[in-house]
Amino acid sequence: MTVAPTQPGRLLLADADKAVRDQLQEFLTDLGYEVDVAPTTDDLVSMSDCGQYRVIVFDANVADRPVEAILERLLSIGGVPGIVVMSGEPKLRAVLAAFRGGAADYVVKPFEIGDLSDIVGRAAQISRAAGLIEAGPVEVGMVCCAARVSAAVEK
Amino acid sequence: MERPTILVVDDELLIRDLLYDFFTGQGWSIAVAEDGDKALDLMQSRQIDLVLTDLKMPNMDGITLSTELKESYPDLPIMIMTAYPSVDSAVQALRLKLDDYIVKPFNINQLYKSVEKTLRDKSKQREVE
Repeated sequence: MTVAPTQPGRLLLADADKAVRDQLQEFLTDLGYEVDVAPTTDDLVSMSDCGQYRVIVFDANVADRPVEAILERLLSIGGVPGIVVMSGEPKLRAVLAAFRGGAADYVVKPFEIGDLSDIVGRAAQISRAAGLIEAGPVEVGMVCCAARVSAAVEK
Repeated sequence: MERPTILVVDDELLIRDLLYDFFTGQGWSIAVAEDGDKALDLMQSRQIDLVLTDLKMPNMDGITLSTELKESYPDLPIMIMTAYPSVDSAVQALRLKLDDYIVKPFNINQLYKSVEKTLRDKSKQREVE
């Protein structure tokens, strides 16, 4: 079953590999998401601070800290994003930690890019069901996020 | 928590007996089934508060059983146990929103804590709703 987002909204994508970021960004943008990218964990955390993302997709290997610590941080920010963790070197312990930590899904690389449509769509629905803002962030958040996004893009 | 009823589904008699003895020793009510079909039958005739199922079973595996149970009983807590853990089956199980994925051999006290916590969380969730 295809899960089509009714209103895709904003999505934050974090992966250390620029080629992967570019490919996924293009794919997700074509699906209607407004995609920001983060190349490092610090950028991921800093950009997500404004709580404006409906979905956050990050590679576990972008992280220089345990996935559960990142999830805890991302889920403490406010807003309730659907979070999808990706990994090219999945370990059972990490999968369990990700789901127990609140991830909506876990994707093992390499994957068919088309599969991401349903996975991200489901994550967006989770975030919507949990009451994430529908209308976008407050103005102050927009300004602070815009600055952080610009800084990450310049890297 | 009032005396909950747990359905244990496992094709291994040893595991069914072990869990039956342990949970009845805690004062809980236990139903056991050796395969998915019997588990589905039991669900029709008894009030079950949580299902604890093995993953790898003949005829119907634990994921298929859980999928069927989720269709008929969306709020039923389900935990899966396996002696053959894998990333794929863990992702499958947790994508189905199962409540836990337990690797055998397990520490029975930890299993008890996990079952108790799952039942407590579900009970709180129902109160909120």
